Amino acid sequence: MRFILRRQPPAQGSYLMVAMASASHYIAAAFCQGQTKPEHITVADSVEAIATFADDYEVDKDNITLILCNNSYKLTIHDMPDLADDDLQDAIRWQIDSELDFSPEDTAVDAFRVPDQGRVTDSGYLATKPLKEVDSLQASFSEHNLKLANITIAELGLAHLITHLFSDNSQVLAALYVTSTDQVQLMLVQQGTLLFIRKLGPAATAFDIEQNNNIIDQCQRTFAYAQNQRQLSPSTILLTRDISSQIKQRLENQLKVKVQVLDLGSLAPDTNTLDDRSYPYYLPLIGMNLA
Amino acid sequence: MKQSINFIYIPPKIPDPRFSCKQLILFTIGFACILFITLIIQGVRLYIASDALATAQAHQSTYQNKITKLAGQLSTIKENSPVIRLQKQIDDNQAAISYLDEHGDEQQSTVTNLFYSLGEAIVPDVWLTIIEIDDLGNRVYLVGRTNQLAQVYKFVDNLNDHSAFSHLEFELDNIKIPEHGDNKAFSVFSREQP
Repeated sequence: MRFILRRQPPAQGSYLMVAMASASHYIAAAFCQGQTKPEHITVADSVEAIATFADDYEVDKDNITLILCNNSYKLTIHDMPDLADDDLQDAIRWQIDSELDFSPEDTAVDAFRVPDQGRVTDSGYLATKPLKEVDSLQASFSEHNLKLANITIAELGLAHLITHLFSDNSQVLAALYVTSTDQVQLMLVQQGTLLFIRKLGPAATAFDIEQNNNIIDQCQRTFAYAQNQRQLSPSTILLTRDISSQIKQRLENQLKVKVQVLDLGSLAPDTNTLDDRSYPYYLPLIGMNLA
Repeated sequence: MKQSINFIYIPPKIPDPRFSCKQLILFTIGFACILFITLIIQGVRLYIASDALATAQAHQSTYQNKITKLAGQLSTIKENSPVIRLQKQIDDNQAAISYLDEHGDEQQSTVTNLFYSLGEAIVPDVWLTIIEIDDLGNRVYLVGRTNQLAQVYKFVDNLNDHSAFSHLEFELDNIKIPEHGDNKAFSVFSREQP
């Protein structure tokens, strides 16, 4: 029981968000409360470097969000138990006992529902990760007096970013991007809510016509499925910078939908802050800040 | 619909009750009011109880006096009761009966023997008019009359010589010679042998 003798003033100060590309490749961003773009950003090669960054910019070290790269967890569609969202994490762990690669006790699990035409459904996405890896991450940050409050996935950050960038977010938007495992992934988003995710195949160079055809073919099939089974008709396809050059024109021609390259506008990092290798991890990071 | 993933398991929290400053002040005032009312109620109850106690003590004193008085009356009634008196008489009689049971035969025997011995010691022309013998036969007082005074001396000698009166010594106490007539009155008493 706590008694409040004085109303707390709104929290000020900075907080830290970290996107993880690998064990030696992080993007750390210091945000001020209420700001959509980071005040400071750096590419760090270790947790120690993140701690130094946190010290330099006096961010809150006890409330850090870590966004994992796509290859470090498993995301699958799954039936959800008929329970309140707050109880989902506890309940789903035991429901999927037989499907886990590890025992439920040794697996970090969380899930979220996906709506169907605005209604809550009994399906959703299940994210799993070996618990020892989560513990290891927390321990490595704790060693440098950094406390992870949230370890989340990149897809949700991207969904929020796409919604933020499009003022008419009532539309169903499709996004094509390359994951950290060099897979092209298609995502359907509406009003900040992730509706559908599908891996289309390996990313290809502009000259790999056969592979690009394969991606476009997969994209067509996914659109057909989404329209027929889920009544989802994407109005626009957004391409991230690293995939746009290969297939933008061909997508427009074959799918007959508007195709745009994702333009971060004012959210874009300052010139030369991030290299091409780090840029893909910046997108979910800044999107998660918008959540 | 809020979608989120957090691999860090945070167990569901039991909501922590929080109170604003206003609620805290109201709670404190409420508590103080309840405490005040409780104290007043307790004070009133204490006052009523002490008053009732004083009344009860007064009643107790009154009743105690009445009880004492009644006990005295009861005692008087008991003492003056015919039943009690009769019981006392019965007890006295019972005691007398017991005494007589123990000593009656002995005394009867003693007195009888003394009378018998007086009869043996008596002489002609001497008549006894009063015979007094105490319970144990240790004191004898005799009054009588005679025509011949010498017979009185003989009677006294017989008494002193009789074995039944060996523990006694008889003396002629008084002789009264009338102006008219021959009957002379005399008295004899005994004393214990030294």
